[in-house]
Amino acid sequence: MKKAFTIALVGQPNSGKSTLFNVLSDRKVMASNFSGTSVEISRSDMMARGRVFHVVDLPGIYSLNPGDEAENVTLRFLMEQKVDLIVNVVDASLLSRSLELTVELAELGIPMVIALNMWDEAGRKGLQIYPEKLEERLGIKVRPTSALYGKGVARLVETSYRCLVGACDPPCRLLYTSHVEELVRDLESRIQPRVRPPLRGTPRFYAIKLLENTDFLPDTVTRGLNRYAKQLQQKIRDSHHVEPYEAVSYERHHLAMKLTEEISHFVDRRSRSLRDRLDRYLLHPVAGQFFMLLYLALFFVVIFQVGNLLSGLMEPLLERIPPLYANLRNSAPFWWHTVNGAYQGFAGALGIVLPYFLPLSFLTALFMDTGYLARMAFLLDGVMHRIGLHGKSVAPFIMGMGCSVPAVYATRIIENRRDRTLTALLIPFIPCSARTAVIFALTAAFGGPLGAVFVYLLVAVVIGASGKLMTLFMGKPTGLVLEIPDLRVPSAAVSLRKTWTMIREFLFVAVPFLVAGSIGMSWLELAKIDRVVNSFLAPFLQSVLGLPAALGAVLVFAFFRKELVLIMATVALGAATLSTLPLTTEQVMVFVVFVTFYFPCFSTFVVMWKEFGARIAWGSAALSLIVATLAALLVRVLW
Amino acid sequence: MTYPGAKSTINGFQEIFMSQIDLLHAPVDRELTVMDILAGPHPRRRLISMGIHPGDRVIKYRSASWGPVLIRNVTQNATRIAIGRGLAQKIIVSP
Repeated sequence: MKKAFTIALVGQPNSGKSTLFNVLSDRKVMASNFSGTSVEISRSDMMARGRVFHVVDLPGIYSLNPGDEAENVTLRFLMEQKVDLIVNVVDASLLSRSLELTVELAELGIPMVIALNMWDEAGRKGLQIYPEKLEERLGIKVRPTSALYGKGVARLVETSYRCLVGACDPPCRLLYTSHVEELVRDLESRIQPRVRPPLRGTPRFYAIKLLENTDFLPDTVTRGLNRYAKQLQQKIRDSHHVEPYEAVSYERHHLAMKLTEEISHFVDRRSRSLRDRLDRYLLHPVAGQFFMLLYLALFFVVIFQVGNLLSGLMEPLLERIPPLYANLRNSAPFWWHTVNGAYQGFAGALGIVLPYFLPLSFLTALFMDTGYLARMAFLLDGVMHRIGLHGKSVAPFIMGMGCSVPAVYATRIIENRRDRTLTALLIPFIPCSARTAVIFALTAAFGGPLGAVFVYLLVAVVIGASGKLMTLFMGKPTGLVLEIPDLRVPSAAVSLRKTWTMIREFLFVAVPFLVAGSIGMSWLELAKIDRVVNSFLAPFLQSVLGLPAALGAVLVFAFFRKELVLIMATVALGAATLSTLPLTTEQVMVFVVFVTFYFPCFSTFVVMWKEFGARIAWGSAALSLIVATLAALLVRVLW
Repeated sequence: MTYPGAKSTINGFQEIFMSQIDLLHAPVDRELTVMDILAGPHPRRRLISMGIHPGDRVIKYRSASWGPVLIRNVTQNATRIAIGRGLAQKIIVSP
């Protein structure tokens, strides 16, 4: 079997890397119109011309000096892993800024091919680009592509294949202006002997990075050279009066602009496009806020109505199954419990959770595609500052409405450690799709949408209060720097495909878990173990929350998957459907509020541990328990 | 080669009369030149890596009594970048 090549997709955020990755590989990754969507490495294998290629999608980076955690991930990958070819995905409509990264990547010396992505977008902006000129200047192949429509991708693969098989030379050296170039060459000659095979990158790359005094260089290269590098840096400060990394960055900025002018020019200077005018209103201090609130209200009303409609349709279908195995009850109690548990799990997943999950994931996919997320972060920046965060935390919060796990990963786009931790601590309070289903299903059965609105208002108040409280210990938030991408008309096809990926994951991962969980629950009931758990939690449940003890086991089980709450409640309290639960409205509200806050699900806890360490994970768990109890008490007093 | 925007290299009368103002209070919808970024290393490095260098010309899109400032780098024809109010006060621009 011939050796498999590794191709890394490297580019600035929101340049279309993940979209290209989805075209190349069968595995689908989350791609949306927001700079900072991919925050982790996704790999997939691709078969072309009888050879296997490992295609790797990396988080976006603006420059090789890492700003936030997501950029660190990319940099570490490029420095440590064996990459045979870099496909530099360039947003052709933002040519000049994208080329800054291209120039920096060229210094790495790893064989490279440029994908001039969003070629159609550049055309629409009236930018005429000549790829062959760029090929001349950089000495590497340039292929225009439009990943969203899959145009030009085949030629890109063809070129990369030919580049990998035949020896295609690394990018040619782009010289800086004389001042800096002398220093780089001087340092490069000293570093030359130290750069041996295991180390990636050319001596020139290390010389430049040493000048920019970035801290990720391996010490085998920098040992004994630091003092000398300091002298050179001082020379730059004297001659240019700016920090060395800024001087070097300005060089690249200058080179990129020269390149852009050489290879492209504007055909027609169009007046303000419709999108700019639309943005005037979307980002307007007053009109923007009003539109956003309207949009959110609409978002939830549609989900609520569609969810009710679908579950109403599913209910009668699922009602017909129980009589089939009713006779087992007395003849073989064990089998009856098993089958009944399986049925409850299955019915709960399809009858209650899926109806709300379907519209939620479709609307979220559609919403992420328009690029409105960045505008929401912009509008909410003021509010977020009051609770000690800034606009960028809005993205993880919005993702938290789908599921807390990707949300915790999404905090990687936040540069400052303090902001990141605080955002992660608040994510468990945002109701994920499972808890949304629980809230909607229970409030629908006991009093209509008003209950749901109340719960969401309480969520906002709790997040605001705990954010403010924690800021006292964690100091001031840092400033916001966030790119606002151009608005894009969402394509239903892309959103449908994304929804199908989420639904498939729900059907093949969550449903089996729900079925197994509810079977386990009914076995517990059979063996009367749930009585033990209930009695253990009874004092807390009855006295503090005023809830029947039977819900104790439900809460323990729901730790693994929140959807279990609905199924368990009916099983534990022996009710056929949700509306016949023997609970008063007040008890239901207390129960819903407690479930919403009481504990992040097991997978969130694990991810929190992995991303932020044990102390933060346990802290978040304890915080959730305390806040859940307080919120539930508040509801009990108010209602 | 000197960089526009580096404080001490700018001398002579021309500089004295050029009115300098921070981005937050700068006028809207007019091309401004970024003179300097008086922020700490991290935000400064962040802004530079996103393509905003001293000497670039930017347009400020929106000014309001609260909420971040929105600018677009005209020299690079880049997308719009939202900058928090605190940081915007540290970016010195001149018409």
